[in-house]
Amino acid sequence: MKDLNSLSRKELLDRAKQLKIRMPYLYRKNELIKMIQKKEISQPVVVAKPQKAEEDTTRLRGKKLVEKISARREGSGDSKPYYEPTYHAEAAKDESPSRLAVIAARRVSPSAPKGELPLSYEQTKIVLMVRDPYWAFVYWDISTSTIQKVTGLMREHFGKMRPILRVYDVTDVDFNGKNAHWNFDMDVILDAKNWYIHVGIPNRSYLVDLGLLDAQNNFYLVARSNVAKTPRDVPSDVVDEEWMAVDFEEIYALSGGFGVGLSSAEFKERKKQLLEQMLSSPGMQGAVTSPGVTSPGVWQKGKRKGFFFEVWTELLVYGRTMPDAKVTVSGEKIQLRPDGTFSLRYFLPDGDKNLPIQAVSRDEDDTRKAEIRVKKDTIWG
Amino acid sequence: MGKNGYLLLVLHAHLPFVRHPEHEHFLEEDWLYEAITETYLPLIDIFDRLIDEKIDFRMTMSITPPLASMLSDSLLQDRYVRHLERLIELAEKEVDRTRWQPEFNHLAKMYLGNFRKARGIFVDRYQKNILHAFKKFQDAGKLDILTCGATHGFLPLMDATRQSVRAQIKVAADHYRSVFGRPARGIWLPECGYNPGDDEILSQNGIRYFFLDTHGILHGSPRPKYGVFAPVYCRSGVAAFGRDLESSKQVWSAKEGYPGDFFYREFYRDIGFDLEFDYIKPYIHPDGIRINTGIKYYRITGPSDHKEPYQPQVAREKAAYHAGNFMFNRERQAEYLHGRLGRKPVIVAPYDAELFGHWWYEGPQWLDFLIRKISCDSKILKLTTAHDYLKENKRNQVITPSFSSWGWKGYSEYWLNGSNDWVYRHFHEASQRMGELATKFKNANGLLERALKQAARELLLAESSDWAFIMKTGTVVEYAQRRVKDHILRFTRLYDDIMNGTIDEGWLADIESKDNIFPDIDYRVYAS
Repeated sequence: MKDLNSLSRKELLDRAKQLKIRMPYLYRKNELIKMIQKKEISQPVVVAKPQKAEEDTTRLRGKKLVEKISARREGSGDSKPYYEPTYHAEAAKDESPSRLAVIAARRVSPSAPKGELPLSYEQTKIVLMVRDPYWAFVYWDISTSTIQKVTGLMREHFGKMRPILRVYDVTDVDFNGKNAHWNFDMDVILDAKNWYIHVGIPNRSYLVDLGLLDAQNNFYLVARSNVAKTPRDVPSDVVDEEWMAVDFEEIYALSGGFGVGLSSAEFKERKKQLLEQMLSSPGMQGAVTSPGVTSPGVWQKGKRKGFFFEVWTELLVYGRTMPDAKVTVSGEKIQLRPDGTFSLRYFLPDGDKNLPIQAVSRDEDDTRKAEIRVKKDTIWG
Repeated sequence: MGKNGYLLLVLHAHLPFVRHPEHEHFLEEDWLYEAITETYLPLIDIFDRLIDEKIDFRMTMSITPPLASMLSDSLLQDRYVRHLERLIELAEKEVDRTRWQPEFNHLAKMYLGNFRKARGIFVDRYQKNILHAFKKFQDAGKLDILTCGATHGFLPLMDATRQSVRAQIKVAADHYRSVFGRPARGIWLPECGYNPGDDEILSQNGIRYFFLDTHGILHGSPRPKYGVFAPVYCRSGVAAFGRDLESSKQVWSAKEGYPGDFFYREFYRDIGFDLEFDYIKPYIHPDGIRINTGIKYYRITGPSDHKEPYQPQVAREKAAYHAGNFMFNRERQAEYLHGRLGRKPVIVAPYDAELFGHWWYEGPQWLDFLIRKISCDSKILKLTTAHDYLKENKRNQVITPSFSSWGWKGYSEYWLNGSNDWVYRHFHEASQRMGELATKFKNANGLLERALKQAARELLLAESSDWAFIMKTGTVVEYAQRRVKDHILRFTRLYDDIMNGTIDEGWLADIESKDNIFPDIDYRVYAS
């Protein structure tokens, strides 16, 4: 509670408004502090770190937690973006082999599961990260007190108020809430706590608001993100006059800019496409495919995301003969136990495995043979 | 110097910090032991011989701070010697077991010889610390050692917490100076991950050059006049070199690359899996988990499961042939580009070091042949380092490179997807808290300072991009998840204890002994 005293009157008023203290400007500073303290103590706090929630609020100073701003949905109707939920799965196709090989075909050392990480840090914020020229990612955290307000609002306007992400293009703009080039909305599930956003246009700066939208298009801001910029997916339009003498398209091609693993015919076709694209509007889909590399496919078979499942098989071969006989497996002599029994264990991969076994009596008069043939398949479902 | 162009070979040597004194045997520590035997020692042997034979060569290698820390850690050094002794014992048994199988017996003897030689280099020549070897090559002017992010943290996904980017670079630069006795001049950015502006932080730490994937340069602005065939300067004055895709593909690609040749050794047929359980049991994990031993008797042979015995002489000839082929291709490329650009091109060919020897068994031989051929025979190519190149070629175009990485699809997706995106909220929160701690306690000493340093270590260890990478590959996911959680939990407890003034010295000493990376870390780098 100590830092309430260090807040300015205006900040205290903001805090009081958030806590729904009526007409706070009627009170003196020390009275306000008392009222705020009382209110905050009465708020149920799930995570045992009440002082954190308070500090986080001060960190967000100047930004109102739930702020009603007038909603203008410019262009949002026809630019409805698709979304990519977090569980969206995509198999890795190309990756560098060596690091993988170092860790291929391994199992985890046994270690008892210990603590888990907190589900929330009791603060209200949203962070924007760029994944590639077309996709961004946001995660958010909402403090217990804010989530109560949010759910309260949603209950109050049942069925008419929904959580959204409002994505603004703020390229070269000092964003004040109203001066974005354009914006679009996407529905989200608050509990998902993160979302992939198809922003779609490379080389632009974006900012994302998390908030609620009511039936009258009023937007209630919960948290505002940082600004992040998508990278270019084609060569820059900025060409210094002095450099124009060089055939950049050819240098681009020689540098491998047309993609990996193309035959020369594909290469020419690709080059043509690129030139056409470079002549048309900027921001078209780029010609550079992923510069990843191809790897041998063997270890990819058992690959799964996140969730972990491995099945291994071993082949156990055992038998018995005269204790003084000579037994070979695949031509190699094996050691018999004193009673003439033996037991062998082999790793059993998918495919065919043949084990010729032979026993020869001590006087070498008698020979018996057995060939174990095993065909093993694993059907992954 | 009538040559037409430069070849800049880069090996990126990195393993995540895996050190578990609390377990007698820990599977994931084997990553280090295998890489020492199969990659680092063969490379050292090659460089030593080149220097002995007075062959002038230039190579670039990144040795990341976690790898350097493990290589200089006495516990891991001793464990490696133990590991190697057991391999020697196994190889001796193999020589005996295969005495009636001539097609395998000579291979068993080859491995036995290799392991004994490895022991000679590791124990006798370099007293268990092979960093001395690399430092010696650098001091001789042959090898340019790059630093990397302090724990190989992927910088573009730290963009929301710049203090973490700062710490990854500064802690690495400080560590480099203490290990190699000179300031770091160049850096291999973790996964080549770059966001415009990161070069400012490099510049503040005295770093003069770094490497980017092809499109990081090509999509820079203004357009790079020479593509990736000349470095560019960022506005901060730090130089960026771009990867040449053609030379990468010849080595990396599964289809067209050299390592897939049918006469090269097959990685997947290891006696750890092939041999009878009771026989191999003492040499695999004590819990009976089969592992790769490094002894492999077959060649790739073809696409089917049928495998023929490995023939080292034939494979060696292939490696020589492939080195010749690589040089020929680079020469034609350099000649053509020289004519086309009117400037000697620099062809940057970077690879993961562990590809050589560990995965591609003949890789070190190939490299040896290539270095010798170029140094002695080529009238067209000259081996160079970024440092040497920039000394000879001071004028370069100024551009702002583009956000990029050398990972799958070229940006952040491998480290930001449904399998691993949950980690970032914790990293960012911990990073902010670390900033708060460092700002609040700028002049700590005693127990408080120890706790602050440990908090910085835990945060850095959590941020290692390897964990997200492993979660995506699906190999040892549980271990990677555990590591992220453990480091963040340790960090969080330290944060709470420091804030509440309740530091538990016994517990602190315990995690200091486990997560003992960066003993001299400057936690103040996080202060704002």
